[in-house]
Amino acid sequence: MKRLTEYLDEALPPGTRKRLEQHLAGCAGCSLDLNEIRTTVSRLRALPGEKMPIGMKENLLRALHNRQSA
Amino acid sequence: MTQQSNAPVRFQAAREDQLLVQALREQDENAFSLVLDRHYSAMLGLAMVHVGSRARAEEVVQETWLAVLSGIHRFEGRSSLKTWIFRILVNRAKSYARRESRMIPFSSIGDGPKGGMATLAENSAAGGDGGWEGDLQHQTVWGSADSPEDRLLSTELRLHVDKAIEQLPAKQREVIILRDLEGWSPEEVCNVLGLSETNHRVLLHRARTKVRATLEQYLAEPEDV
Repeated sequence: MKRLTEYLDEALPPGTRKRLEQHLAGCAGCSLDLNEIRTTVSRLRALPGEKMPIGMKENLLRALHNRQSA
Repeated sequence: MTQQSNAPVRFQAAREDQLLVQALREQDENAFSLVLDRHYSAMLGLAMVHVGSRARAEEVVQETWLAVLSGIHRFEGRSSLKTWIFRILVNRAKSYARRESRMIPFSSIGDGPKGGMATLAENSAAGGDGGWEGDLQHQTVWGSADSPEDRLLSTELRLHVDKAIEQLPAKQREVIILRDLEGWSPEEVCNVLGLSETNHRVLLHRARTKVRATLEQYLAEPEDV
C-alpha cells in the first residue's frame, strides 16, 4: 500500500515501478486500492478552499499602505 | 518525476518568485493581494493544526503576513518565497500554541461550541461569533460551487473531511492538508515541514487510509428522505 503512494508520486525507481505495474495488472485488490486512493485524492483536491475574510484583507492592505507612508 | 524534467518548472517558479519578491518590496498592492488569496486556505488549515480554533488561526495568519511585510527586504531567496512564508507561519503557530497552553486555564478548554479542536467547516458554519449572522459579516465563503445545492454538498463533504482530518495526529494532518487539500508537491511539503520524502509519504499514506475510510463511509450512507 505504501508503495502505491510512492507510485502515485512518481517516486519509484523505473525498475520498481515496472514491477509494480506488472503486479497491478494481475492483482484486482491492489488495483482497487490504487483507484480508491486516486478517487480520494481527487475528491479532496476538488473541495473548495477557504477565502480570506474581507476584513482581514482590508487590514493587511492597510498595513501595506502604512508601510508605504512610513 | 526526475530532477531533469523538474528543471524548467523550478526555473519558472524561481523567476516568478523573483518578480513577486520585487513587487512586494515595492509594496505593490496587486501582487500582495494575489499572494494573500493564493495562500490563505493552506495557511489557515496549517495554523489550525497547531492552535485549534479558527479565530486563533486567523490571528496567526494575519501576524504572519505582517511579519512577511516587515521581513521581505531581508528575504535572500535561499528557499522559495512560499517555503519562507509558510515557515514563518508554522513557527508563529507553534509559538502561539505554546503561549496559549501556558495561559488558558484548564477549566476553559472545551467550553461551548468554540472550545477544543473545532473543524474548519464547523467554524465556517458557526461564523466568527458562533452564528450565521457572524458568518455573513465575516464573508467567509466556501469557494465557487456551481449552484446552491453543489455548495451545500461541498460544504457538507468538507465538514466530514475536516472531521476525519481532525482525528489524525498533527503531523499527518499537516501533510494531508498540504498535499491533498492544497495540492502541494512532495518537495514543497518536505521543505516547509522539515520532513524527509520517505517520512512524509509514510505520514501521507496513513492519513489517506483513515480519511479514505471516513469518506467511503459517508458517501455510502443513504440520503435522508
